[in-house]
Amino acid sequence: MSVDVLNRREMADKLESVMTSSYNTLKEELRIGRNLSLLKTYLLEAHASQSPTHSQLLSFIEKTFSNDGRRRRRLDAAIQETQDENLFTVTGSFGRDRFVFYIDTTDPRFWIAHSISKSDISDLAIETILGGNTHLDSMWMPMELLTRVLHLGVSRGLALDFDRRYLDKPTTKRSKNIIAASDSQPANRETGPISIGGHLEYVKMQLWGEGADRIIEALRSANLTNSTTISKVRLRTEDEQDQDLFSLADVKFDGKVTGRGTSFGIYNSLLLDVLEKYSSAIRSAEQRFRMHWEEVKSTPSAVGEPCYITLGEHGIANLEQFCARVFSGNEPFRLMGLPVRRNENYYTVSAVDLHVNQRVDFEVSRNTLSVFLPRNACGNSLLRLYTNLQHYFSSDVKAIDGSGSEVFAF
Amino acid sequence: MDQALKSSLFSRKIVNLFAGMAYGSPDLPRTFRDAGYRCHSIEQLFQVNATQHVQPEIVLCSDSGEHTLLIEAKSGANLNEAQLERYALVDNTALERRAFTTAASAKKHNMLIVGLAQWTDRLKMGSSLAPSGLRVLAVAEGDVIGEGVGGDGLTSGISCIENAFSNDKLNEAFDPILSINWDLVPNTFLPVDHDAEDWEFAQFLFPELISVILEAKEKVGADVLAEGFIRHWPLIDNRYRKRLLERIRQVIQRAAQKRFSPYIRIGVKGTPKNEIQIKIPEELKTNNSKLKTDLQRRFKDLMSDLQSPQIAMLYET
Repeated sequence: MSVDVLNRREMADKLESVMTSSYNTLKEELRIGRNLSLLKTYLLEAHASQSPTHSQLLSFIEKTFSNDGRRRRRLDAAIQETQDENLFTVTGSFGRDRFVFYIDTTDPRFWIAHSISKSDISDLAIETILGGNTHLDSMWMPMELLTRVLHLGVSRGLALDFDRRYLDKPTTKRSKNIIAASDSQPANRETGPISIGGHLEYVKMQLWGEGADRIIEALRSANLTNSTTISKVRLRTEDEQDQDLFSLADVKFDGKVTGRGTSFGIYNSLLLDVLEKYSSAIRSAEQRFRMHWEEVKSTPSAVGEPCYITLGEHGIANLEQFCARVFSGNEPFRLMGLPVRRNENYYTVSAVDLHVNQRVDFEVSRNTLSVFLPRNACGNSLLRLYTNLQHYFSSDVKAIDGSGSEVFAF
Repeated sequence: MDQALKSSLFSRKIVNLFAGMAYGSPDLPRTFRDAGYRCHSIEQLFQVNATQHVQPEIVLCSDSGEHTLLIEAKSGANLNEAQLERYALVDNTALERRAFTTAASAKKHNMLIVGLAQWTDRLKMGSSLAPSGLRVLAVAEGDVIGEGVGGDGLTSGISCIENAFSNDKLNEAFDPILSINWDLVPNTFLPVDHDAEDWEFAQFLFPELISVILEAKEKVGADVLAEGFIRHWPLIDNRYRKRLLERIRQVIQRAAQKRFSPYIRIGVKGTPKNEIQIKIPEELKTNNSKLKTDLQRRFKDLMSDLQSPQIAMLYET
């Protein structure tokens, strides 16, 4: 397949024209035409070496997108270099449906992948690429970050997405096998949902317009704080000197951003601001919570501390079920472990984070999930767990350090 | 007659408790964290003079409180007089120059012995054989190693039975009892010791090994695995490391003979004693999903072989 952009300048021009067309079409027809699709951007976190050469990066991207038996769905993709050493294009297809990604790897760890292919195809391609991939993952943005992002522009609305059904659903034989050592009947098994207290089981809500914040406040004051997890924010950012230059972006918790408007430059600046906040949080988490002992002036010294995730006012009623689900090895947590019951109020789990194939230790009480990251841990492990607990367990979970201060205050 | 708790289990519980408090676990009292204590060392051996050493189970230091606390756990009724005398030789120079604490935290110190409430009289008697005003004797009350009993916070915890700390914040916290819910004491700071059960080693060891297998590495040293889950490995002296490595080798050998036989071999002729050879079965090399499921199933079966009481408890009829 031919490369249709040769450098980031050409990419920006092409993407800006798509943003403008889709904005005008949406404004006039209130829907996207069949032949036009929105600009979509996927913010990804890669595990390349810290300062790779161009050829190392190319080889890493090829490895990341190759069919290596890790995926359920076959993906045929071709990677092409451009004149710009940090820009690569990935083209491929599912049957008749083609997809193209423009991947900006200026930061070799945090990639920006743009696409103007149809949303269902680009989403499927990303899902396929990330499934079982130990080199690449989504950026996981907790509510605190999305709320902060909203303040980078003018709020145009937000969406809520909370679903307790996954964790509440009784364990299947498969997940039971993961937690238990025998097929015999369980004794002392706790029954019922994983937590008690008033909460909605499933919430999906989109609130577009300037009054969205007030509706959220109303829901929270109605004692529904534990099920009002923000999953997406929409904001308008514009040039102070020229208000005709603007972007309207939807930023989702899993790192997918959709944009339209008149300026790719403004849209791109927003992406860079989001990336900067996310990458700072990741690096700070790695610095603070990688627990180990190391030589300081030839004396071993304790470095790092556990990260504690407090589990809201009601905590966990059914610890066994919670552990079975979270440590099943399945999406979205991707943690594979064998929970050991220490007593009825405490479980320990030494799990493998399947995103990076790395062991992480956990201790679970009814009110606290303690996370013990190893020496070379990836901060993504913590953000993924925390963000998904907000979406699948409670909006009220909080990550704190040993002094009780919130960890993710962006 | 009362039975003594298995020494290793009680010691680990006490080490993990004090480490957990210093690291600010939300399920435990905040006294130590708020008073500026941090975990200086676990099982660190240091000389008190040219010919004698001590090896406290855990040392906590507070720069702001200018205080160091050396902690020993005793599950039995007797105290070792010679050991008490060696601890009495610890001074601020030994702490700063030989245990490598900060100068600030070395200014004042106490040795804390935590025993069991049932041995209160015998512990006091033992302590009287080598009196020291710097030694605080305390006892753990409640169901320390029980199953799911926890505590009501009033009768469960640690209380001092002899002397006081050189830090008023600690004296206030222990007056009359430092309330502890024993159910919520962590395990990860000191996950195993030489006396731990095989399944306790396996619980941490095999996820570490599985992560190495998933990375398709061809070999790994038992010491590398050990350092992964025993975080204070650099503090452990060589002789004790050898004891722990021997236990790790035994557990791996057992797994290599049965449950993990398609994947690992240890003690192969011509290779280092602690080197584990890894091989992924051909049919699983291109099916990552099946590989993960197979490894998890084998781990589960191994834990069953090792009679993990916790796992059996979940599923016994």
